[in-house]
Amino acid sequence: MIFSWTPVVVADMGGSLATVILAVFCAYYSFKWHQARANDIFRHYICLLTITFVLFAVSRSVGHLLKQILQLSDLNHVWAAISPFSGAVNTATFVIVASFSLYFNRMQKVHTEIEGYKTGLEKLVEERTRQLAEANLRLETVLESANPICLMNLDFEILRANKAYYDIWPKTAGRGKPLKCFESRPGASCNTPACPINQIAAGKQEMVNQFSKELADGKSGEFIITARPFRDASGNLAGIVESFQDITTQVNATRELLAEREQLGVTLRSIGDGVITTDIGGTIVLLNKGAEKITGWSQSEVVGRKLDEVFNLPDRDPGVTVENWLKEICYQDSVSGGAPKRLKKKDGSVRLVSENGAFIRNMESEIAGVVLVFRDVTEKSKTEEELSKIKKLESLGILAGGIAHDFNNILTAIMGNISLARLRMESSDERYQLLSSAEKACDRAKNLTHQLLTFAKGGEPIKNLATIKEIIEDSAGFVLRGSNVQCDYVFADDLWNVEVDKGQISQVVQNIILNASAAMAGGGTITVKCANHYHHRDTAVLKAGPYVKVSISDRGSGIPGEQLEKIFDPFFTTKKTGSGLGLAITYSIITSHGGHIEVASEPGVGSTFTFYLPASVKTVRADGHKERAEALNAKGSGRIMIMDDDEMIRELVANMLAGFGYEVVAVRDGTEAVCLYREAMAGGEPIAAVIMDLTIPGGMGGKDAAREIHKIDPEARLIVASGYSNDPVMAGYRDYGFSAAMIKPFRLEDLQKVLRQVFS
Amino acid sequence: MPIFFYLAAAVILLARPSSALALQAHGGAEGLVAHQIGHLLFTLAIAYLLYEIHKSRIENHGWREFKYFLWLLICWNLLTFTGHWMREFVGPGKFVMADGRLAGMSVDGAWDFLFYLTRLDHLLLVPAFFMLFLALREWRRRS
Repeated sequence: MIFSWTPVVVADMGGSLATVILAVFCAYYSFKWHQARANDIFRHYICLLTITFVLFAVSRSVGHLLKQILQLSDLNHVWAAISPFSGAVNTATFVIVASFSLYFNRMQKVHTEIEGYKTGLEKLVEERTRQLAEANLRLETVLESANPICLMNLDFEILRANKAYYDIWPKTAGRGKPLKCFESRPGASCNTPACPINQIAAGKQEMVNQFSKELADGKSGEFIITARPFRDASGNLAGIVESFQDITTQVNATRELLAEREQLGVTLRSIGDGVITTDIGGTIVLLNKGAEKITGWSQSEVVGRKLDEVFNLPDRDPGVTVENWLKEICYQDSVSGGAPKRLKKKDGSVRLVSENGAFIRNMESEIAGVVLVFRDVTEKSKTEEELSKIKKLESLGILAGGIAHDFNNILTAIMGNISLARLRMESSDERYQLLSSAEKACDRAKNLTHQLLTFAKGGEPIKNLATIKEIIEDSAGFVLRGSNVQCDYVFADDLWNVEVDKGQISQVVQNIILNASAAMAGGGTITVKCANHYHHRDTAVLKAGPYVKVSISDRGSGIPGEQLEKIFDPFFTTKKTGSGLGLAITYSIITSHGGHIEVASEPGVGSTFTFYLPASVKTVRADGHKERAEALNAKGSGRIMIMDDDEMIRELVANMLAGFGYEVVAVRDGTEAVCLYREAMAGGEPIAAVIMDLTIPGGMGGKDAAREIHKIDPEARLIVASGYSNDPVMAGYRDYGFSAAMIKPFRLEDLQKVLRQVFS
Repeated sequence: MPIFFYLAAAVILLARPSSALALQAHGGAEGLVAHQIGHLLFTLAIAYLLYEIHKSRIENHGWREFKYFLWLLICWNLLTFTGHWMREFVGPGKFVMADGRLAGMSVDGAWDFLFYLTRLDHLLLVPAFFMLFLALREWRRRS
């Protein structure tokens, strides 16, 4: 059977062509596959192996194609010449393929090992990358939650800063290059050796500075900057790390604390009270100015001393320890704590103090010490004593005043009638002498009543301008006349005048001089000094203003301390025959003049009484007190009205006035007086003067009647008469429309003197 | 392992030694022998590749096609080896010439038919390279 050779030729040519095409594609894909992972040695090997296959396929296919083409072209001899080369090349490709194939195992192993290493490395890199990412995240979290912090290189460029930093120093918008630190927060140390970067570069390991920064809200922020070196992985200095601690709150708190401490310190220094703080054992820690003044110790002297050395209370039980004493002070109530106690000062003098204490507790509420607050109440105690004395006098005065008023009316009647009776007798008459004795007794009774009234503030002074010098010299001279005691006067040249009741002040001087004289039984010299004194501030006993200060000193036996506090008390006397009213009245007179009296005495050395009288700017007229010497028996004329509720007085005064030649109209009260005065005016027989009792029980008194009469006759002459010499009307009678004032009881001469004054 | 193949090749070459001369002349038959040895080397190398692939248990996509490629290549080698060998035994009378060109073959039995088939070796070689193409395409796609 003949098989056609054409299929063989077709298959050979077609197959060769297809093999070449496939081989080219294989080479292409192999190359691309290798390029996808160029460093993969196995791919590289497979690629090379593929190329050997391709080389084999191409060489063979090209040979076969050439063969077929040459044979079809009847060029068999050409093919015969080429054929050995084609076959040899083909054989060589077999060897090449075989050679490459032998390295498959080696390459695969290498590939596997490399892949293993690679996978391991990749895992390691992945693990390290993850760890790095976590570390970065942690660092980032720490960085962002920390205080302001920034990292700078040695070129002053800010490499990294957290949000807190940029909140304070915002980033400069639109910057294309790294922000420099001196641009972000320019400061005084920039471009100087003090710059932290320069310092760290010079070898410093840490720089700490404090600075202020105005924040966005306008408030000032305070920061502490800590700069430390920042090094790279090799340990070389790469820059600095600066952290910023906001200490605004602490600084403000410190400032407030200092201000508070300063305020407390100033307060402690400024307050008048003494403050001593001690530790729990009673050792002094602090002593303020007030305490220095009261105790006489200074702060520098007392620190470290025990409290009882400085706050020395002589009356304290020495058996009680300082610690227990402090507890007693702290636990005592305000009443017992306020009770004055005697404090012995450093110089030995004694003051009265009231004290209170409190525990000082620390943060744990444990007792850490004691604060003792005390004040000097010496002056206050004196004032309280003075006020107590005044109150006692006032009470007694009310009582005395009430008695004296009625007694005065009785005495007025007695004295007046005795005077009238005496007028109707011859002086040689034996009864005349008896009446004179009776009148003297009445005088003494009058004086006693007057003293009672004066003491009872009844002696509201009827003030006139006077020079104290004359009053003192007259009074002292009168008292000391005939005694073995003399007086030395020291008067200031420019002594101010005073407005006083001369009689009362005279009585004061007499009382004091009498006591001084009595204290110097063996004789001696009393020194009287007068000087101007200006009191600069209001006190309990004296108002601020000008005063005349009078000091009367003796060198007598002195007054013992326990008696010194009582000498101005009424009825206190050391004399067997004394009434005990002398100094009480003196005290009353001085206080009623708006002045003050005090005494200092030392037993065996002497006593000094000092009183102050308000000075007057007025001058004394040279002829101000010219006595009008008119004869007692000078006769008067005209109609005089007497207004008194007491019939006895009405009759007495009517008799006296009738004796002077006056026509008398007697009325019982003010209403009747006004009515009769009007009628007399209308009837053409006007009343020349009206003597009016100030107080009419149940009727119109003198003050109201005077006002009504002045409505009828503005020129009316009115005389007020009263036993109440403390009534303001008596002291300022002119202000109430009266021409004169007459204090009951009065004598005939007193009445006539007043009438002369009114009609002059 | 490669040493084993080198030794095997050496043994085969030494099995049929020719005259040993100082400068040996290489006749026309030597080309065929060398080519056939090349086929054997090629076959053994491919077989070795298949063995290694099998041993390494590579079963990924692409490697299956590659193994098919190798198997087809082994078959091709065996076919062409057989063809080259049989050519030495096919007389000129078996070929029908027309106008000086080979036009057919007188097939008288299985032996002749087998020889005729060996002339159609591209029926194995083209699929083999198609398999290589598929394998490479798959590898590239996967990468």
